[in-house]
Amino acid sequence: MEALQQRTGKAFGYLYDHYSAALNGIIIEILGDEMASLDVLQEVFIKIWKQIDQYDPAKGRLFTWMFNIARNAAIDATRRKDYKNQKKSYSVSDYTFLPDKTPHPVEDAGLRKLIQSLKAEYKVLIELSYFQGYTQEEIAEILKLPLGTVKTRIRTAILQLKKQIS
Amino acid sequence: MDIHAYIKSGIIESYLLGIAGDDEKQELDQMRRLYPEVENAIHSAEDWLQGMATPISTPVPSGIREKIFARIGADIRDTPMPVEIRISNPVYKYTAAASVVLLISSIAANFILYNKYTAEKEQVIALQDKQQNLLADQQIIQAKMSTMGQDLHLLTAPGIVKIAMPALPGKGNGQSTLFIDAAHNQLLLAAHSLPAAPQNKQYQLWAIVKGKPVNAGMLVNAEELCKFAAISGAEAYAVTLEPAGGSVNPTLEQMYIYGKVNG
Repeated sequence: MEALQQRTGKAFGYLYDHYSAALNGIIIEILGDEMASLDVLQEVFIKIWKQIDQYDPAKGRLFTWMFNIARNAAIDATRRKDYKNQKKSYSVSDYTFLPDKTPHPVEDAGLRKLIQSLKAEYKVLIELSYFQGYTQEEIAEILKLPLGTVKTRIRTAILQLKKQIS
Repeated sequence: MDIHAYIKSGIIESYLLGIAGDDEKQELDQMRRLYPEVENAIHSAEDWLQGMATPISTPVPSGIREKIFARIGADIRDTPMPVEIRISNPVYKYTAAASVVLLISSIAANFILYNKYTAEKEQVIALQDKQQNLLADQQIIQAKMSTMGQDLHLLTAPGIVKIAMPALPGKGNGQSTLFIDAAHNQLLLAAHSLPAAPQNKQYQLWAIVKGKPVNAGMLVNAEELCKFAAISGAEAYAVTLEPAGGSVNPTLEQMYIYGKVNG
């Protein structure tokens, strides 16, 4: 870690070689666009390079930290892309038969695939929170649900997803 | 709180996925500090997160690596100052961390040493006190012995007249002795028979001259041998218990000892 934080190119190269594919997969899954994802991935690694000082090993693994940078960057890119559709109003029924609108090469794995097995009311919560980056308060507003219900359902959804993976 | 239930509630996973609420994040930050079980659960959930990302891994085309490195390199050339600061930042960070650790251990060591020093100091002071007390005691004993030696010398000198003064019934036990030292014109009373005087009371020596009592002085309780000025023409001597400071006339009911001067 120290070598990395001293920004030796070697360490950064190691980091890139080990994690670029995983982060790329995460970005593609959120953005649904393999070409656009490459731009986001570059942004992500530049950000990692610039902000490595802010990584606190006590708070979690390097992968977790990079994962969050990648996810946030992908969500920002999605919002830029979908700017025109932003005022669209959502309802649970919109997501009941939510198609996998992002056809990508790894359809048989990942969170996007896993949530297909969830009930609609859970699926929509993961879609809005994880993939679209809405806060719990915003989701409660969008779905006209009490905040407490949103919290409980998100946790329940995650527990169901976890069962499928572990 | 049931830690086990908390760990299994899904909060950790939502935290790692970045979809937890601010309140949930704060709660988890607190819980992980309080409970090692929570910290451990976070580590295993990180395995889960990484495991979930693995199957969707998508190799990146080779050109991208070079593009990124080129952009980083350009950054360094374009803005040398910030990079210099950024390079030194981690060093500061570790130096600061090391300093804090050193400072804390130094404070701890100082604290321990200070406590030890205080305890030792207290011990030294206690020993000094003890020594002072012993020294004072020794001086008192020396003074007493010296007085006793002088008294003994005096009492055994030639020309000393002894007057036996037995205790009167119900007024103490045994006998006191009055020594008349004509050579030095003084009286010495060894008042062994007198009980300790009650508070606010004091023994008074009277000389009987021509049938009348004459004040000869007050007894000081603490002393073994009370000295008085000689009274000429005394036929007898008596000691009464009087209010502290003495009386003009003796309280006869409170007479403790009496002795006649032998012709």
